[in-house]
Amino acid sequence: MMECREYIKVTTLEEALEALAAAQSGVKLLAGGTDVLVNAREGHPYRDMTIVDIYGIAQLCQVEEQADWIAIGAGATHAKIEQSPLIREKAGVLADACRTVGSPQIRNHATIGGNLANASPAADALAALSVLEAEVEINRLGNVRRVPLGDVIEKPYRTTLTERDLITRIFVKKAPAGTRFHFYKLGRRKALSISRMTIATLLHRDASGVITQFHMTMGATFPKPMLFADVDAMLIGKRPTRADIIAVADALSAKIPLIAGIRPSTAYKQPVCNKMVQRILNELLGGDAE
Amino acid sequence: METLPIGKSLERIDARAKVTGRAEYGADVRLPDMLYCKGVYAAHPHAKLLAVHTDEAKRAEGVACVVTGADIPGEKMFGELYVDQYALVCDKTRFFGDVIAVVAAQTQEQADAAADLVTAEYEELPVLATPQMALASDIAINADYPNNICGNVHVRKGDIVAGFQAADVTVSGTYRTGFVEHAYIEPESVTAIPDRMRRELTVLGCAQAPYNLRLTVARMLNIPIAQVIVKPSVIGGSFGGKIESAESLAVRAGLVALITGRPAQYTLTREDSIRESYKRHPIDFDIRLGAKRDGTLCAMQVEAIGDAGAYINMSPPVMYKTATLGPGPYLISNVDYNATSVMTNTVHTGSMRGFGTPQAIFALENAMDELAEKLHLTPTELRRKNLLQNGDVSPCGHLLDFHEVSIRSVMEKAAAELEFDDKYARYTAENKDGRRIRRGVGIAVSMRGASIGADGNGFDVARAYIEVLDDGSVNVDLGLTELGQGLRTCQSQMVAEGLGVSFERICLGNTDTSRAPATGACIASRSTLLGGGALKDASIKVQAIMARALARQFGKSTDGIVFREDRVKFADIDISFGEAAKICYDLCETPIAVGTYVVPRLNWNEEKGFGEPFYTYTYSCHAAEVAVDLDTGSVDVLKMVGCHDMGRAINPAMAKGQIYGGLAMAQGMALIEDLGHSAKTSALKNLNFEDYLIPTVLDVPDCNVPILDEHHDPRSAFGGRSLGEPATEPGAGALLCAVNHALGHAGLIRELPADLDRVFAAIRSMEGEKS
Amino acid sequence: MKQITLRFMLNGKNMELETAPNKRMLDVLRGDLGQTGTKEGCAVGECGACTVILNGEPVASCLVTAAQMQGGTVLTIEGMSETLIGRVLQDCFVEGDAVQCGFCTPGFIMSAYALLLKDPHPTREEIREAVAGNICRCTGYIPIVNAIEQAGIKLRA
Repeated sequence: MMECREYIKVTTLEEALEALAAAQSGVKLLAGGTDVLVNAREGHPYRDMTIVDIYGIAQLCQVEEQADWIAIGAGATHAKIEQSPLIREKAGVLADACRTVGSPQIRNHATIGGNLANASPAADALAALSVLEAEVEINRLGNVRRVPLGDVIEKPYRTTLTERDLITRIFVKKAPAGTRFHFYKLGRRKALSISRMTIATLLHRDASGVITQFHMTMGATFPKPMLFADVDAMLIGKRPTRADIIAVADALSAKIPLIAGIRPSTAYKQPVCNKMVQRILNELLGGDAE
Repeated sequence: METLPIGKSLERIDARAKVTGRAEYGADVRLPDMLYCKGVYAAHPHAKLLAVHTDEAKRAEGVACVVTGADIPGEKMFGELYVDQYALVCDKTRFFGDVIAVVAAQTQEQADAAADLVTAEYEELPVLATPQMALASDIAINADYPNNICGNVHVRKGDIVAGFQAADVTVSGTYRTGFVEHAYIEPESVTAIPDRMRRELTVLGCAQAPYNLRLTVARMLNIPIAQVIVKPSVIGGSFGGKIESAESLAVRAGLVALITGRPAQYTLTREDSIRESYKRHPIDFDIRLGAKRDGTLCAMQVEAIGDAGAYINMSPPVMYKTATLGPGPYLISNVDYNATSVMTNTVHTGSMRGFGTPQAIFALENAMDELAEKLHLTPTELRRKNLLQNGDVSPCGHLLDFHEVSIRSVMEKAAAELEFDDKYARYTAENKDGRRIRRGVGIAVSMRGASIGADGNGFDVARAYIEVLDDGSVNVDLGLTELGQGLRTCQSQMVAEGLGVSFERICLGNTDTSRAPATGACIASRSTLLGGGALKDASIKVQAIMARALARQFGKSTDGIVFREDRVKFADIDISFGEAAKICYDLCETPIAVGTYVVPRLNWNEEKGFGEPFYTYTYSCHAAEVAVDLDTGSVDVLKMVGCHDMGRAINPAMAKGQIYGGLAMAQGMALIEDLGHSAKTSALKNLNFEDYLIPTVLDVPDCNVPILDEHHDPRSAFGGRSLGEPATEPGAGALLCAVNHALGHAGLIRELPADLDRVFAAIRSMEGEKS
Repeated sequence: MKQITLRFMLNGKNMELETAPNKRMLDVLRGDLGQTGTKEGCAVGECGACTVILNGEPVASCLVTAAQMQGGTVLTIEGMSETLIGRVLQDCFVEGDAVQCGFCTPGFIMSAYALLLKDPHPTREEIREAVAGNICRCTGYIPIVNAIEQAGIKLRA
C-alpha cells in the first residue's frame, strides 16, 4: 500500500483545484499511478503527503481539434491517444510513441500528463511531443498559463512545476496534410521496455519536393526534451541529398556529448543515433536523395 | 487399437483449477489468525554481526514477534549437502541477501513497517565480490574452506598433451556467463501452521523438495521429522529455484509459528526474492580445442571457474555436471575438464535448470564454431565428423552400448527444420555485401545425464505408494512435486500403464510428506526415470497381491496374468480391474504397496575423473536463426528449433511444452537477462522486472518448433528419460553461434548476455579492425 | 487513513465494502474480498499476473488504487466461467496445453478476454500485441497464442 497522510479522490476539475488549494504543504497528484505507485514501494516518499487522485476527471480526458492545435487532456491515457483517429492522422508521431509504451495494461491506465509530470528522461511520448512543438497548459490554483514543453521539464525527474500546479492540457501543433511522421524506439526487448533511445521525426515537403518543415530529436538521450533549430534548419528549403542527410545525422548525434556530456553510454548512443538518423531520413525521403 | 495412456497428450490434471483461478498457490493460503512475515536484510555483504536491536520493532503496531538467529533452538545452519547456510544470520553476514531478523505481524503492512525499525551493528570485513578476488585473498568466507574453493571436479581421459601435439589446428579463448535469475512468475511463499496438540508444524507453499525441507525444519527447530509435515501448494514455477530458498522461509515462518502458536505466512516481494534467492552460477571457461585437418577432434581442455557465491549450496554437483557434460556428445580421446567453484560475497548460486550445462555448452559450441571456421568446415560438417554413435565411448569414458545414441539423428532433424545448411551458406555469402542487417544461424548439441549421476552413487532413490481401493480406483502418493512441468499428469500416465488400468482410475494425491514415502527430490530431470521406476515397482507388487487374491478366488494359476486396459486376464478368466479389486477386499487381501527404485551403482572413478558419470542420457540439439542490426546491436531472433530424444515422450504435448519454454528461457539468458552485479560492492542492481528483462511474447519467434525424436530407453521403466533441463541447455549456445555467424566471426562475442551494448561493441571492434 | 465506502460491480455482482482509498486494487480483491485468482508477480506493472478488466479495459491491478475502482465494473478470472468467451478461453487453454505452472494464466485469460470482446477476429499478430504485457516463464508463449487463436475460431463457429 502506498503510505500517505491523506488521500483525496476528486472527480471534477473544480474539486481538484479546491483540494490543491486547501491541502497543507506536501501534496502529490496521482493519476494513472504507474509512476507514483511504483515509487511508493521504496522509502515511503509520500508518507507525509496528501495524495490528490485526479484519475478519470472527464474534463481532463478529452482530445479536441482546434484551428492550429490539438488539445489533449492531461488525463488522457496512452491508449486513448494511441487510438484517437484525430491524433493518428494529424499528429501521428505521438500516436506511434504512445503505442510503444509498456504494455496494453500500462497504456490503459497511464496518462500523458502523469508521464510529463514524472519527467522521466526515457518517457516515450516526450520526443514525439517535442517535434510537435508541444505546449503545456498549467492551472495553478485557478491561474491558467501555457508554456512550451521545454520550459516545463527542467532535468530528469524534475519539472518547473510546483506541487500545486495541475497540468490540464497538452497542445500539439496540427501538421499539414502530407506530413510524414516517424517514431523509432530502441529498447532491450519488444514490449514492456524502457527506451534506450527514441527518435521522433516530423517532415513535410511541398509539391516540388522541397522541405518546408522538419523536426527531429531523440528521447532517452538528453536531460530534458529538446529541439534543435540549427539542425532542423539544415534541411529546410532543400531537396535533400545524401550529403545533407549525413550532415544532419552528424549534427544531431554530436548533440549527445555536447548536451548530455561524455558518459559511458555516449560511445553507444552517438554512433547508433548517427546511423539511425540516416536510416530514418533515407526511408522518409523515399530514397530520392542522391 | 492403442489406448494405453503413455504417449498420449492427455489434459493436465490440474489445468482446470488453474484456468478458473481456483488453484491455491502459496500466497493464496488464508487461515484465521495468520501472521505475515518480513525479513530484514544485511546492510553489508561481509561483516561480523555484533548485535541486532529488535525492541522498537517488537513494540510496533500489530507485531506478534521478532526473531533472530539466537531464537533458533536447534542447528543454526542448513544445507542439502554442505551445512553452511543460515536461515537467520548468527555471527557473520556473507551477502546482501542474508537475513538478520524476521518480523511477524497481523498484516503485511505492519510487518513491513516494523522491519524498518530493526537496527544492527556490524564490523565490516573486506568484500570478495568476484572469484578472482576470493582466490587472491587471504580471507576465508567460510573458515572450513581457507582458499574459498568449495568444489572441484576434474575429468581426465587419454593424454591431453599428446592430444594437442597430434592436432593440426587448435583454437583457444575465454567464454563467460553471468548470474541468471530463475524468474518464476510466482515469488516464493511459505506458510507454517503449528499443530494445536503437540510440537508439530505443517508447511504449505512452494517447496520443490519437500523432504529436504522437512529435514531442515526438523533439525533447526528441534522437531521430530515425522512431526514436520510438508504439503506443497500449487507451485508457480521453480526451475530449481524453490529448494533451499523455501527452506529458509519455512524455518523462519516455522519459528514464528511455534513461538506465537499462530500460522505464519512468509511471502517474498519480487525485489526480496531476487535479492535473497540463489541464482545460476556465473562460470568463466578457458577452453582449448584441437583437431586434425579433416575435423576429427583430438583434444579438449577446459578450465572452468564458477562463482559459488556466499554459500556452497549446489556448487560441487554443478561443477560435476559442468565437467562431465561440458565436453558435449562428441567422440574424443583426450579430455581434460577441470571445473572449480569459488565462494564470494555475492548472492549464492545453486540449482537452476541445466545446472552448469547451459553455460558449458555455450562455451563449447562457440569454440567448436571457431574450430570449424579455422578448418574451413561448416558447423554441421564439423559436428557430423565427431558426434557419438552406438558403441562409442563418451568423453568421460562411458561405453554407450545400452541405448540408441541418437544425437546424429537429433541434430539432423533440428538442422533440417531450420534449413541450417542452406541458410548457413546463403547468409555467409549475402553478409559479404555490406548490408547492415545480417542474418546468421547457429547449432548446438548436448547430451544430458539423467538424475544426479555418480555424484549421488548409492542414494539416488525414489519411492512411491499405490493403494487400490475396493471400487477399483487407485490412490497414488508420490513425493515428487508438480512445478508446472506436468509431473502429476505424467506420473499418472505411467502408473496407469504400469498397473494396466485406465488413466481415469488414477488419483494422484497432492504431495504430502506424511502420506508419501521419502523420496529423492524433483530435481535433475530425474522424475520420469526415477518416479517411473518406483511406480513400476509398486505396480508389480500390487499386482502380485491382487493375483494372489484372484488365485484363491478362482482356484486357478495366475501364471502369466496380464493387467491391461482395465482388464485382468489369466487362465480362462477375463474380468474387469474393478471386479478384481473388489475380490481382494472380499478376501481381506490388502492391495497396497510401496515401490522403490534406486539407480544402479555407477562405475565412476572420482579421483581419476573417468568412467560412467550417469546412468543414461538425453540427446539434444537447438538450432537458431537471428538477424543482427549492425547499426544498433539489436538481435532479432527469427526462429529456434529444439529437437530432443528424451526416450519415450510420456505425454507428447507436455514434452513439446517443455521445449517451447526451454527455448524462450535460453533466449533470455543469451540476450537480455542481466542482474547488474557490481564487481566492486557485490550488490545486484536489477531487482525487479523493469530492469531484469525476460523475453515477452513479442520477443519469442512465433514460429519456434519443438521436435521429439523418440527412442525408448531400455534403462527406464516406461522408456522415458529427462527433458526438463535438456529442453533449455543448448539454446544459449545455439543463439550465440548464430549471432557470431551473422557477424562473420565465430567466437566474436564470448560473454553473456549478448545485449545491445555488448553486441554493438563487438561490431565496432570488428569494423575497426577492417578499416 | 480515513476509510471509504467502495461500491463497484465485480463479475456481475454489486459489491460494497469499507476500505482504505490508497489500498491497491490487487489487495482489495485478494485481501478484502478473498478473491485470490488474481496474482501478484512483481508489484510494478511489469509481469501482467495481476491483470483484471476495469471498465472494459485490461489494467495492472497492482497499480490501481481502491479509490479508482469507485463505481466501476470489474471482471476477474473468477468470473470468467460465467461468460461464454471466458469459458471457451478456459477450454482452449486446457486443451491446447497452454497452462504449465498456471501462475500467469489468469492474467493471460483476462487480456485475451478483453481482446475477443472487442475483436472476435484477431490476427495472430493482434493476439500477440494484446498479451504483450503478460509474461510467462514456462510455456514459451506459442501454446498460449494458439489457444487464444483457437478460442476465436470456436467463438466464431
